[in-house]
Amino acid sequence: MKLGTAVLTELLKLRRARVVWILAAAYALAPLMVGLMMSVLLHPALGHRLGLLTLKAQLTVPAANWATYLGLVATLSAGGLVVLAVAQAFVFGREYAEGTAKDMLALPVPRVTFLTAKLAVSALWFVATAAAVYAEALVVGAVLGLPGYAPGLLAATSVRVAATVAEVVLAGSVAALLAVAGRGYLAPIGVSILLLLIGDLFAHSGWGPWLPWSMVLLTAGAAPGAAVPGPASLAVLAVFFLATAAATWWAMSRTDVS
Amino acid sequence: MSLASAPEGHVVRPAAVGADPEPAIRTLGLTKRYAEVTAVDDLTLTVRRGEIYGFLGRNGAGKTTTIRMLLGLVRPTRGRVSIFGKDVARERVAAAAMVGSTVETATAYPNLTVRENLEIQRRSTGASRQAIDRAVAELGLEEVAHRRAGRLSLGNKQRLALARAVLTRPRLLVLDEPANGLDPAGIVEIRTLLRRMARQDGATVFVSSHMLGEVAQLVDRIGIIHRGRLVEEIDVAAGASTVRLELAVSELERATKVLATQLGIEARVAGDDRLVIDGGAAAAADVARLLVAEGIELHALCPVRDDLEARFLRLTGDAA
Repeated sequence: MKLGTAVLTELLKLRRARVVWILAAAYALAPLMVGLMMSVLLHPALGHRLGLLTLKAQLTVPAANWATYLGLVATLSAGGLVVLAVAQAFVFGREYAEGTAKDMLALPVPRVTFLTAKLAVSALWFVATAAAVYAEALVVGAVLGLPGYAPGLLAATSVRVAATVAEVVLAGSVAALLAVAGRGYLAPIGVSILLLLIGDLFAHSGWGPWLPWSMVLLTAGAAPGAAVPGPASLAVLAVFFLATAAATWWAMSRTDVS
Repeated sequence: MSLASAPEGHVVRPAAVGADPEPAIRTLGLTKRYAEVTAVDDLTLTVRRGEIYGFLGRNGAGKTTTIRMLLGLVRPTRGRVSIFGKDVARERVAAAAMVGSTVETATAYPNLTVRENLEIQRRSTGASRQAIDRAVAELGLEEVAHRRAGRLSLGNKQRLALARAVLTRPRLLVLDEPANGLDPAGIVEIRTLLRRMARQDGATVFVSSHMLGEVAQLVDRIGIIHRGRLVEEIDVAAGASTVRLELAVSELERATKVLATQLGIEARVAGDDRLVIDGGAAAAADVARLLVAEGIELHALCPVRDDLEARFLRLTGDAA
């Protein structure tokens, strides 16, 4: 089977899968929450009615304008680590959880073809979701009527979000390995949340540019003032991705399907 | 008869025209251990091209583990498997291209329809689009072809799994408990289909089961597996029943020795005073004469006909 056919076959497996829409809906709540925080700052009367949320907004958001809003939206893109983990948990883990792995892996198809197609489809799913949520965020910002819009600001944020999404694809593919090794959904999602927290912890230390999950947060702007990953960091990330993919292939090829 | 002159619908098997003589399945010393448990133990078997081979054993005997090793899903601890001469460990893709299979419980992508599930199989195997229509018709799935697999009955899920297996008209079908979930009419349909694929298309069928009656009606040969070991192979076509000789004697040990040394007959101890000689009914007179001549008291000598069920139960440890 050619890789293109394998990718189309993996896409077919997602047809009518509710998780695609549930995941998109859950991720789409994030810009709405940021928009709400902006809104309470823009409209103090509304803020009085919302109590604690207003207090949180006042503490975490310096000002209600496009620069602050887009900064927060870019930060949200680092949460893509969890979104990709869910996508990969489904694309890889469902084969084991639903017992279809034994049928799939008995097919006359090299396992590296399955691996590549599944990585491509889960990345495609994640990128499409992230793009849709980013577009939604821009619409929310426009509807709120935030002050201080500048085309350059939008372009810079778009580049930052795109870079973060690309890094998420590279750093987050460890979820595929966990789904195959753990033979199900739970391990990739649980461990990815944990890795995001660990990444956040190290993002503020000097190790941030060298730890894949911290790099994502640094690129997203989640640790203002910290060093941004440079070419050497990106090379580490690329090697990490290749090593993770190789380990996933090994797990698919060498472990028993029972 | 040349291949060109073969009548339509009748396949001349390669072995018959002197082509590649490799058997459909060959395992050599196949062993699988899980920590303390030996699931399959030094299994050596050969399944000839074009035959229907029944792989019979009780639950947990090692049937499914063997099938998983045949399909390259489980790595043997020791030993080798080849499919039409292709080593599964080294040439898995080439071996898999000749095989259609079902393994254990029938599974499918629940969000996809029956046809979509078959489409996934079609794309993965390079089968034609017409193959889906044929498989749907052959397995009686027309009425549920556009129903999601998650909403199918157990029987229809099993039919879908079988439809996937036969989609490419493979040279070898490896089916693990194919009658699971099927009603009696369904079992007959599947039996007819498998027989037709073997007789008309020249396919080899390797079918595992713990249901003796189902297997006996379909297969040419039966291999009985017990605790991971192949304990007997029975040529069903040549007559599945055998006659064994049961003896009650006074001195078990001496009787066994005398029979072995003087008649070359191997007797096994089957109780406090009982010996059994498998397939030894023809030698009853010689056995009686010898034991009496040696001064061994012969209390009883009885030929017993073993049908398939009795043999299976005896071999797997549940003989009455």
